[in-house]
Amino acid sequence: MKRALIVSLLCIAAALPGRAADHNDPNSVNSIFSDIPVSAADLYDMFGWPTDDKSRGDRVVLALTFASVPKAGVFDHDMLYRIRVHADPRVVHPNMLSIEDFLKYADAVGRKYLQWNPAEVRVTTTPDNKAHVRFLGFPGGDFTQTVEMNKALTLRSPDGKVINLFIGGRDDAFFNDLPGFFRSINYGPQYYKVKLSAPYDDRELKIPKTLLELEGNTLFNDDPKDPNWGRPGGTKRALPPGAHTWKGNRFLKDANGNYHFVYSGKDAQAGRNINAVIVEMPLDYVTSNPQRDRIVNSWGESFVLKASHKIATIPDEPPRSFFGRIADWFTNLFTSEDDPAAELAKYKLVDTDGVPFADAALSERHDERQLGANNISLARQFVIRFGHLGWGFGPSVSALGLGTCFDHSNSPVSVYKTYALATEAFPRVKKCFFQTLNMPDNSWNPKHLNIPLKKPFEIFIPNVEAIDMDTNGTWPFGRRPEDQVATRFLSIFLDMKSGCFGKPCTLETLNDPAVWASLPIVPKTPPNPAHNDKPFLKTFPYLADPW
Amino acid sequence: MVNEGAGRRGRGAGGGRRWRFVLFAVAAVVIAGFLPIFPAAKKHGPTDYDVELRSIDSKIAAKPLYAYQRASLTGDFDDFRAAERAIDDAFAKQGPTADLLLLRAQFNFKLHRLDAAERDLNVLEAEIPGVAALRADLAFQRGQYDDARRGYEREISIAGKWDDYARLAYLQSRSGDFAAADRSYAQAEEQISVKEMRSYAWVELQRGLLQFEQGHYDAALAHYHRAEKAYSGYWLIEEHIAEVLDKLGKTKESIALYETIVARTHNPEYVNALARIAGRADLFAVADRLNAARFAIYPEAAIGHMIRDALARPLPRPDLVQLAQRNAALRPNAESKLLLARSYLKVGDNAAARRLVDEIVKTTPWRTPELAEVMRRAGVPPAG
Repeated sequence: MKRALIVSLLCIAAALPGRAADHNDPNSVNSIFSDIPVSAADLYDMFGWPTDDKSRGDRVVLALTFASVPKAGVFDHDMLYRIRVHADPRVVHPNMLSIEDFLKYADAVGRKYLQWNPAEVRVTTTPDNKAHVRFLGFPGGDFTQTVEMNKALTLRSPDGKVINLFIGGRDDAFFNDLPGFFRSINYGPQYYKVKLSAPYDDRELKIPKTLLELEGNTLFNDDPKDPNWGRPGGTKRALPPGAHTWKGNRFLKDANGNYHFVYSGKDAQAGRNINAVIVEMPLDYVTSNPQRDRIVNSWGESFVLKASHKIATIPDEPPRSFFGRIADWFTNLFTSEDDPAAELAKYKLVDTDGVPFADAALSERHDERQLGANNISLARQFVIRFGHLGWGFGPSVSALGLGTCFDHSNSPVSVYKTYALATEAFPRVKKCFFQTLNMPDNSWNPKHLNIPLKKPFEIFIPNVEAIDMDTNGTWPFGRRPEDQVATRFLSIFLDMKSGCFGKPCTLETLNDPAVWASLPIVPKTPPNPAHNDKPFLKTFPYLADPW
Repeated sequence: MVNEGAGRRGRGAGGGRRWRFVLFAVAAVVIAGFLPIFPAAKKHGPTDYDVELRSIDSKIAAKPLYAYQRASLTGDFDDFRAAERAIDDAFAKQGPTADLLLLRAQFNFKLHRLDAAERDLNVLEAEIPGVAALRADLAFQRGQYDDARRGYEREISIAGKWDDYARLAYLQSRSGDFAAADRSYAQAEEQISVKEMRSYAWVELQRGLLQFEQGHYDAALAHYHRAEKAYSGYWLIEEHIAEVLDKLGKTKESIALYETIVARTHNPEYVNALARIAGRADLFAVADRLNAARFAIYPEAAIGHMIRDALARPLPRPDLVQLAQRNAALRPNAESKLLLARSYLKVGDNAAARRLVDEIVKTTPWRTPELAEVMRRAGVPPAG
């Protein structure tokens, strides 16, 4: 019967660690749920860009940010973070017309990914708040160093290259109206007390995604009496009983004929800190052929120690005899505790971070979809998800008088539609996937090289920050801290060819206050703030000091 | 697991004076009513168990989940009663939300109120995390082992959480495949991080139990010690250490440990074990009173323990078969039927025992060392 008692104890609910962040938070570390605390495993952002200063040659900056747990500048010592890096040549993809072309592309990328052997910057910390950093697999040589935290450091690689490193607390470089984004996808946990164990339908409620408030959508429309509802430090409500759907048939308009924007343009991340690993490396340390390998692919990963390792580190009670210690020493001569693979085997992967919004928007934050760069297997799912989002955002864009790449059959209002088959969704999303994303000017291409503009399909698969070293690294040619990526993501739903008053749109169109001033909408603001709450630094470590 | 054939042992030297005090305290409090019985265990700084309990207590007000967590951790029936009240209050205030329905289903399942658990599970969607696993557990407790296995394997294929592997491992162990069970437990451990040390300790305990059942007591103890390192101060682990120490002939240590565990938990099962190991037949009466008190609160949860306690005694209690029949009706699974078979054996009805054992072998995958032992004693040839 003791067995039965033990089995019944299996049911003890274990609270799992996690915060709402901008993307790719597996739900077990996503503290947007009412019962999940913030977790050090929750990765927030992956930045990457070539340095503007070329006096020391091509250098790439990589910055991985994550939850400041236990606090900014102090890391959780059970965590291991790594920034993975693989440089390869720029590839120009042929025009694609069909879902078969797209899936073939995904398959080819997948095969290429499998051949990668990415290098990595691996960081763990010690109880005395020192960081143990390893540079592994770079052509410039492996090395390991124990360093001080919260200081901009200069290291030397085995081949003599200068590497800048910062490990510690910074201001959160993400500036964004995150509640607005969650309102646009009717994401319950941001506004309601939704637990991780709650039904999936309590997360993204079965209400059309939308950029404009829906008439009668009382579950998500702005409540002037409760302006902080769903905002950081504000209120969350109990999810009312009954069906969480929407029965209306049009967007909400005020007496002046203006639509109501679901975004406020306010920075929900203002005043927040993060922890970060920031590294600046010469390209000729990252690759042995820097002339050929102009694309630095990078992504971040968080790991937490497996329990078995903790057990192994707890010393046995009885002290060892002198001869015992001699024997231990002799045994240790033949055991490499420094073996990187052995070290990693003691950890389990929790979160990955590559392309901003790739996962919050497209992977639906599923724990089992934390595939990092290897998200090729999700290609069909991405088509389905994009189709679902398109039925929400496409009609919103059209209602404002802008053109959309999504084929919503002239629907006058956003529609809640899901797909079971990628082939069914594909005709609707095809144009969005394959259209060229225009840049606002040529500043992204300072050398005026023949670099093709990006297309959405190649941004999201694979899920890596692909930094083009011949550009200035602005998204989607990398990601600079000052990029307003959330708004650029929305621009993907515009018809880039002629959607902006008959003229081509760009990735910055929706960041332009003048555009919003001309549209029938209130508030007349870009969806997200234009600048971070603290100015970024012009020199390493680039991200601003913590608050 | 409980050694029916164990004879009386001499009382451990040095434990007598302390034990008289414990006995006095038990008797006084049981007579007075259902009040705390034993003095608090001696502590050397807060253990992992203490720290977690304090953390739960700081959040427990008006939170049925924490009340339930506390009860699950302490195993104390008074805590279960408090949790039940908290759940009822929450239902009255919030209505039947999915969270509460799942919590109540877990609560009722834990207390072996299978029909009540099923009623709540029936209105919950299968996609809600925890529902499918609990349904599979329910199938297991009802003896529907194929359904349980399918449920566990499906959960592993979908999410592969540590508890999914652990559930499957338990089924594998009950099917006699100890090697597969240990592999599944090892896979469960791979899924557990240092943020979940109690879970890790629990799985280590299971791996120890696999060794214990095979008679590998040293290996079992090694696993138990590993569990204790991972999560200190947990009575459940300590009790298993006490049990295996007895098997290893370290009776004095076993008795000393049981005394501290009994002082902390007031668990009649452990009082009973202590009575057997220490050769203190007079303690059986204390265990009986504690069992009766538990039975009065949650009969479905207490009945199995009472039967096992009774089977471990030299003489059968008069209502033993009746209790075992009731238990088998409540949870019509191989384990309950095996207890009934043992009860028949205890009262000398070998024919009835043989029929039941035959039924278990023919209709279930249950192949435990306990079954083999009952078959031997009932004169049934070993299963092929």
